[in-house]
Amino acid sequence: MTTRAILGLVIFNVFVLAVGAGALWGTRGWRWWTDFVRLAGLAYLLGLSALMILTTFELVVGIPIGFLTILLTGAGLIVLGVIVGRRRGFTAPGLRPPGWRVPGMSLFSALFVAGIVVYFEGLFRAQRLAGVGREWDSWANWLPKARELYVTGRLEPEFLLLVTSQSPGYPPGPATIQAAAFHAMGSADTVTLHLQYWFLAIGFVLAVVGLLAKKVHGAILFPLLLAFLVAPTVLDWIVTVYADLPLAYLVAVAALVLILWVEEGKAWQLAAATVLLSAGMLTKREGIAFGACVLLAGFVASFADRRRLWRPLVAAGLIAFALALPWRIWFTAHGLPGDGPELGYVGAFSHLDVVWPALKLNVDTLLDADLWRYVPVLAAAAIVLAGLAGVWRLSLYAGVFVLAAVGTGTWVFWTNPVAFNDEWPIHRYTGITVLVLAVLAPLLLARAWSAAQDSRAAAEPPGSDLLFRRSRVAWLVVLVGVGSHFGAMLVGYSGSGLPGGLPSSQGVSSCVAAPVADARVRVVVGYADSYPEAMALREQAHAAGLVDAQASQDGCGRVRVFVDDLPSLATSQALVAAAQAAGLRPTVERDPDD
Amino acid sequence: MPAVRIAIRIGVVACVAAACLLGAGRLDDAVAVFDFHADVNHSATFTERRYPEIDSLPGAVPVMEDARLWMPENATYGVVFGQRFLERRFGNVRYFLFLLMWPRSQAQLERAPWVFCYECTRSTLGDRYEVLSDSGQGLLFARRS
Repeated sequence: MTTRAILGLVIFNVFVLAVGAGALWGTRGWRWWTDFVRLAGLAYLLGLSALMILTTFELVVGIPIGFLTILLTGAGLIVLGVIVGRRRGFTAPGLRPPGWRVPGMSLFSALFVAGIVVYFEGLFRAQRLAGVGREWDSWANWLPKARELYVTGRLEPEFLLLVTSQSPGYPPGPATIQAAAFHAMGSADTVTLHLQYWFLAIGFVLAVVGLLAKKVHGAILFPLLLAFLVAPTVLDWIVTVYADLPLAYLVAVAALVLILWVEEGKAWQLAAATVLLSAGMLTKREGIAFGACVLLAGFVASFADRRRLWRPLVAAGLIAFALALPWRIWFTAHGLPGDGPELGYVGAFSHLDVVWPALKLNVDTLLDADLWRYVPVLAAAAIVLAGLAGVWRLSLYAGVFVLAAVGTGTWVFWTNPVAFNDEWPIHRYTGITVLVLAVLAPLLLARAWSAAQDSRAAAEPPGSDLLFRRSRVAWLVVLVGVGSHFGAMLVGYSGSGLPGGLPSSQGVSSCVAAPVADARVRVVVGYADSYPEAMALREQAHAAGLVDAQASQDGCGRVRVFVDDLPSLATSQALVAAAQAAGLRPTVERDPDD
Repeated sequence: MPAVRIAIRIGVVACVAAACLLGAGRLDDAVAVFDFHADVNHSATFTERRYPEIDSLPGAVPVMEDARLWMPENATYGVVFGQRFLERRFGNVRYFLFLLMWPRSQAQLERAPWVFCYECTRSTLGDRYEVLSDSGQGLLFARRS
């Protein structure tokens, strides 16, 4: 909850970006730093994935996950990336290509980019001081594991057996990242940890924008992105310390980069998809199912080029699974129950009556306008339009993915009938499918549009030149979005404690009230981090003559030792003098009971 | 097939127009949701952020915070129930306390200097225990004298 914690998180995420830059350099390299800036979001997700995979591996082989381990792991990945890049002949990049200028943007696109900026400013305010009180999976599963990792550096089987809200063999990936964030913040600050999810969301959006920037006109890309971001279920989940949206980010970007590989055949694209899918498998158990769905879609979409593409695709799938395998071997070797279906892989066949309700639940949830605001319907239309336009490979890819995801979802709910008990499991599962559709839809529409044109020149969107002509002036609109938060502060907007000033940190100072003339006050002898310390302080206060001194919670995680209910500031002076004479350092505060 | 091309272009424009309406039209709702969260989170207290509301542990937050402030992190504590049948019905109470008191660990009552008593009155634990916190709704935290 402190500025120091936020700064720590910023540094941690820059570190993650640097790790991802190492991975990207080793697999792709870049001639110009402007290229890297475009792919920074992808680099960030790659860094996160690589750290998750390696720290999980370190857990498995018994290396404690501490500050130094994380630092060395990241540094090692960066060095490895640089060495591999050099061996592959990548030369040091230049700042920008000759004649490069800040890319223009249409006024239309700029309006939506500004909207996305405003969205993330609002999200920052919402998450900065969020608690975990209403987040069951946070405090009952992820945070105990993350705190255990933060304190001990390990996840012992005995501990995992005690965290019974999920099976002991549940993948630990998010907990390793949360523990790393705790180290960066300097404490197990579960409040500021919410901001890590803000960084993840930004990383995801930047990754999608970077990958599609040269392929999809902003007039298509940014409205669709914003439409997805404001979907009610996304608003619900984006502010919670769960693993569903992080998994969705990884799967969606992996799905996007995989179809780009099918179309363009660049090795780094397949490598990136492999790493992202593997991290997805270590994020949640559904990660394996969604990884299989993405790969299946890839196989079908590349059927025409199967001689050339299937072998590397099989290798990518095997490598992705192999990177996630050590954890599965570890928990199996320790005799921990797995995370397989509740009814077993065979037992489910004696419950075939559940198949239809499971399928119906999946389809109904996917098409539920109250959850997604028609984003899946838009994506379905995009698939059809791309198919009609002859962009068959991309539309087949998206279509097969949806069918596979719904089919897998049906299997999940068929074999785990307990998941029917409430609505959250299906919402969370379907959210991943929707996110994949959300990133594929702009590409589908752009391809459909281009394919329906007679000439390249006509590939620009229709409408007034003023609205759609690229211009650097449009960035001013984005700047207005950037400044909207500060503008709100200047005009005294009351949200999140901002009126006319800097955001308050809600630290222990919020539990200290300055005395006010003519109001009751209390003499505070001191604050302690525990009752035993407070009791010792209270004894000193008693010995100093403050016989009414008591100790109780201060509401900010400490124990306050104080004498309260004093009628005025003047009457407190005698007690202050007595305490000072005994070597104590008393203060006077307003007594809020007044 | 110009007609199909035109239809596709109209379809794409329609999809983008729908996305524009959804995105721009709902952005103010989204920001309002975030503002609501921001205001609620800003006005929340330390304990409201730290502890969840648990139906089976009404009024328990001050007791758990007292317990956290009393017990060192390597402490062990027991969990007892006012009546034996409650233990089965409210078995999750042990789990919630395990999660919220971690890294302190649970132990058998006779080996633990600290104790939570669920559905208890101050007399339930007897003279051997000093009650340090009482939710007023049946949850006690005590120390063995």
